[in-house]
Amino acid sequence: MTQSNRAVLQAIEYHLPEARVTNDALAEQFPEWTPARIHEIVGVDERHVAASDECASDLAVAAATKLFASGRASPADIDYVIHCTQGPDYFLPTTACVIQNRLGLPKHCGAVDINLGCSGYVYGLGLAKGLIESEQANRVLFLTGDTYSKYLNPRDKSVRSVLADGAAATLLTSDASATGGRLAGPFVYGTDGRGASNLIVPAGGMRQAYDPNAPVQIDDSGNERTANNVYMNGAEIFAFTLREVPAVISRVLSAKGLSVDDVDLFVPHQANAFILAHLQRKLRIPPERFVIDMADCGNTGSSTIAIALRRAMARGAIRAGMRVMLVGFGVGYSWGATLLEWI
Amino acid sequence: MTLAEFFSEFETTASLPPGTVQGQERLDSISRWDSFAVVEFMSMADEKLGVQLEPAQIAACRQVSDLAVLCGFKP
Repeated sequence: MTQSNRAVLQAIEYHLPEARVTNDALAEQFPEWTPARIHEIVGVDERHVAASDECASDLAVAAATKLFASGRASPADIDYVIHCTQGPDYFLPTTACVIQNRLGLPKHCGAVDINLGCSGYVYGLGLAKGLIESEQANRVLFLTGDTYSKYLNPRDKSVRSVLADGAAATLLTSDASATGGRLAGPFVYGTDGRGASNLIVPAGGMRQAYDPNAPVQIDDSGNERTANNVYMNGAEIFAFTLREVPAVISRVLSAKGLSVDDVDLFVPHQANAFILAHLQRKLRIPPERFVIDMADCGNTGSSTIAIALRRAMARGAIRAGMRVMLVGFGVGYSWGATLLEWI
Repeated sequence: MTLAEFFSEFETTASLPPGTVQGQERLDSISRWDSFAVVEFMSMADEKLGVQLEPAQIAACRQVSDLAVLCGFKP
């Protein structure tokens, strides 16, 4: 590999839709809750929610437009776009193709959708690194975006409290003079499809058609949902997190002969601040080196790491010479982790 | 952790008044024993007792004392 085809994360921008759902609004709807209790159990104070006519691709296009406006690249520079979403515009065509046209990306640009949630950012970076370092692409625009609010049942507080909408645009380049996060790797992945039913929208695909008359189910906690809505088994997701996240972090560290102390900053998927705080203590990582930054935007799926990373960059928490670990985990079950080296 | 301290931890998790849990309380009669409380309980067990619980084990419990047994306390 030559120096010039090493993939570097050069820039990130993100976009959150305008409307917000506050803890006050949720507490009003669910009188058994207080805003303070909601903050305590998920660490979120407000979530951004897309308008009824606003798709995940609209959010991703807005994030990309912001990135181009920053001057780090122009649409003409992009030769590959990866779009990670669990809310495509259509079954077909591929949403990335629609985005290519909307953003005015060149016709020689490759375009592909990937369907992943919480682990999607790490997977997308891994794909971008492969494209760049195998010299299939020089500048990859990696978009993440979701509108989970469209899958939520308004009477299901278990997911309304934490899931939210948002998008991010990440620019990856082979430019040898670029500054940013070099995708040093290793990229470590994991999958356990036995957990598929623990975080799922059962209806709407080919396995089970969307049913406007789907019956409402009420769970033991009083949450209501139909097969058209997202279901999350929080306890199972937590157990999965405890099993797999420490292990995947260890695998990355072992592959490089590093310890936790050698990593300057951990940026995990912003699943739920309560769960993240537990992980931080369990892994004995000082809180100042473990990013929890979701109070004003909730869990936006594959965009959370990008948003948290962008904010860490903006506040000067990441500097040249630092080693940053990204860890994605969740729906699938799917997980992945990697290291960036800041240059 | 003593059994009394365990009950105190449970009271905090289920938002119950201090000193009210004796062990025989039915979990399905505790209004705040919801999916979030279960996650909080799992977190407490992992962090303070070193016990990683599976949700199915917790779902099989009928009363608070069953949770105590699950966490290694003698019946």
